[in-house]
Amino acid sequence: MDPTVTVHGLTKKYGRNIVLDRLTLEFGRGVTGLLGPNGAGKTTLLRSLATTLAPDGGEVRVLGLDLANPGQRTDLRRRLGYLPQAPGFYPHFTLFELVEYVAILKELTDRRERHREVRRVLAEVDLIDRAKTKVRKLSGGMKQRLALAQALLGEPDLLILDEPTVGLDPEQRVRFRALVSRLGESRTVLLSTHQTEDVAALCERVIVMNGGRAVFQGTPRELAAVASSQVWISNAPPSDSRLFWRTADGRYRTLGDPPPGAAPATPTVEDGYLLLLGKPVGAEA
Amino acid sequence: MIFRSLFLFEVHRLLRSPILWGAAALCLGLRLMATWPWLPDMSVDPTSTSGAMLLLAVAMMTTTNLATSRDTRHGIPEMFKALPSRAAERTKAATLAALVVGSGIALPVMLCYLLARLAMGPVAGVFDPFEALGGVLAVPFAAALGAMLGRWTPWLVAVPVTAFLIGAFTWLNSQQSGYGSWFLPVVLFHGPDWPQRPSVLHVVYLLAAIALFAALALLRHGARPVRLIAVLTAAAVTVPAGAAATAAAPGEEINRRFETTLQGNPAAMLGDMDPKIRQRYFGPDAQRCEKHDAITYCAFHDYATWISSWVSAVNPVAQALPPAERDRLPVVRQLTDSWFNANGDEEQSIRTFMMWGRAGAEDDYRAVLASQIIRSVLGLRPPRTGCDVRGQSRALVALWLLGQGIAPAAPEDREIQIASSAFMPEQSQLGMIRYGAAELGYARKLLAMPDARQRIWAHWDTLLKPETTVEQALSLLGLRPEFTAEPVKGQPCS
Repeated sequence: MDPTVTVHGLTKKYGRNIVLDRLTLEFGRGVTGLLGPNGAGKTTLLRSLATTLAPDGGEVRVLGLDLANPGQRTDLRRRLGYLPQAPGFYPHFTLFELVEYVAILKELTDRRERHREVRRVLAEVDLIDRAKTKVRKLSGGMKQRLALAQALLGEPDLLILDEPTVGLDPEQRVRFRALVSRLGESRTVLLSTHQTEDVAALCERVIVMNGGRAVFQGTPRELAAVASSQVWISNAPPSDSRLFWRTADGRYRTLGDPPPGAAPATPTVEDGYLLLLGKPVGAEA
Repeated sequence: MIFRSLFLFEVHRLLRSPILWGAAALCLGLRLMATWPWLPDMSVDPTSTSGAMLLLAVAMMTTTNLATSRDTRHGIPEMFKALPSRAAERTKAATLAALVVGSGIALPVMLCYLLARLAMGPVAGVFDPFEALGGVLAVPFAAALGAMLGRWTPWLVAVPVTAFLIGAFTWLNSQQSGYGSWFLPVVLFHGPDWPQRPSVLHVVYLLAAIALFAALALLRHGARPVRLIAVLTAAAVTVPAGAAATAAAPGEEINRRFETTLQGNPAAMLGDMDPKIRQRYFGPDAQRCEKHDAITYCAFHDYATWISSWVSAVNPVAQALPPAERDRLPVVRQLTDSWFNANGDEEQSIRTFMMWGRAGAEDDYRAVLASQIIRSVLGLRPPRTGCDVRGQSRALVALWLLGQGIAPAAPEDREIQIASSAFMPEQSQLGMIRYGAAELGYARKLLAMPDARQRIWAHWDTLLKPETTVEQALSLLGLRPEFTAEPVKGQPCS
């Protein structure tokens, strides 16, 4: 499958701080998860792809469009759905008004069609019953769903979601996963998250970023395989500084070399991610 | 491409704004309440209503500011940058919507007010449509200003601060020369007999200022040639129009000259007067006179509709006078609002003014006219500090005459507004004349007697002598002593 997003040598600096360091990656249709510690450059990458941040160097092509070209940037915006990390809301708007306003800005100019689309996206995020409610009356999780609704307007070819599951309760998270996986069937979804279980459940591909670079690109299974033969279960904690934590059944899960008397365990995406980042210090969970 | 949709969205939102409709209702309600006690004067009403429009203007400035600054608030810029529409289109749509809605609300407010005033009695004065238009334009002026502030200042407090500064500027100006107030969207007040305001120029100034603010708001999105040309063109009209509009002396300046150099000097006042005003109010054809029941009434041409109100105040008293006295009554003459001192004292006329009451307040004005006739006929000339007519039979006649038109009441110190900034002090309905409960009581008895007129006319000369006492008058008038006389307080009326 041809990649819909190609990034080559992307660089972004804030003063002396290099946030994206000649980043090169590509991904195509389906759901791609973006993992990485705080400060890894995830949000900067997403903002660059969403055309809200101009990079200092490198090339970015999205859906065949060159983002260095202003006209093509505008074309991309017509085909893009973007949920930023901290979306803004107008407390005195109703949900319908807010989404309709964004719909107009997204160039949905036919009133009847626009209203139909607004109702559709509100239904997608299960907020249609609250269409006439003022935004100020929504809970944090509802606001997150509302922000997702505006991103879904116009059935975008590329959906960029920056930590979309923050504030969602478990039931909403499951609904969200179902929605995103359905969207990923026909379009490109890039999802930044700290939740490795979301990646495991949703993503066909995963990119792990650290220090402004992509340190891993592959499937969740491949990421889990990074920890192959390096995950152990033991009754006692290891005596050295290997990464371990106490699990709910009172035993210890250790990554790396096996502690004495440990049995091997099946690696997860989280195990692979943690080993990839090479966390040196153990912790009690 | 999206401009039309955005414009309609903004119009829809503004039309549902409770702030705007609340301000419009308040503006109309307060203005009607303030002018309720007076007959409509179209020389004053549109200008004063323009001042009241400031309330709606502030509401409009606030809502427009919120609309145009909407996409700068927390989290929004990041969301909107990823959308294909440009910020300039949002500014254009929000500003135009505010201008249309602002004008669309202000116009009916002004029309409703003026129509309501037209229904409040005989209309006087000269209607200047540009004054009314100026009041309407104050609202889009504020909308454009709000849009500009919304784009150039990131703080929501900018609107209240600007509103406060404009308010303070207005107040300071009205305390000083008033020249600066003409730079404002509205003129708070303009006297009916002040030199004609440059209302057309003011309208041009307002329109140009609206265009200037709107263009400046758009300039925030980049100095494109079209925007720069729009700003420069609008500024090129705004500045000279504003300067020309402020070139003539405003009313506050006239008031200041009154207080410093002209007061008490009628000749100087006439000399200082604008030639057009002198011709209009003191020229040979300044007044139109009509005779009703042998009494002549003279009104300025635009106020002739009020003559019927004056007739209804004077006639009952005049009809109650003996025929010989009636024939000697002086002319009832209207005096100007600001220049009434310029007439001097050479003519002993009954004076009426450029205000007349209604809805219950007309009794005050009827009393002012009636009491002048009564004082003239009875020879009562109270000094500035007033006099006391207790114990004199003239008091009974005076109150009986007054009672022909309005119900006499107990004395009370108060001031009747006779001009835009002039008040006539009164100690009773007879002017600066005090009387007691006994005189009032006997007068009420007389008013209830069917043959009071014959008795009063029969003893007219005796009753009018200052030395004839109330006790002496009672037997002449067929009244029994039943009220206790009160001692005279202060100077007795001579």
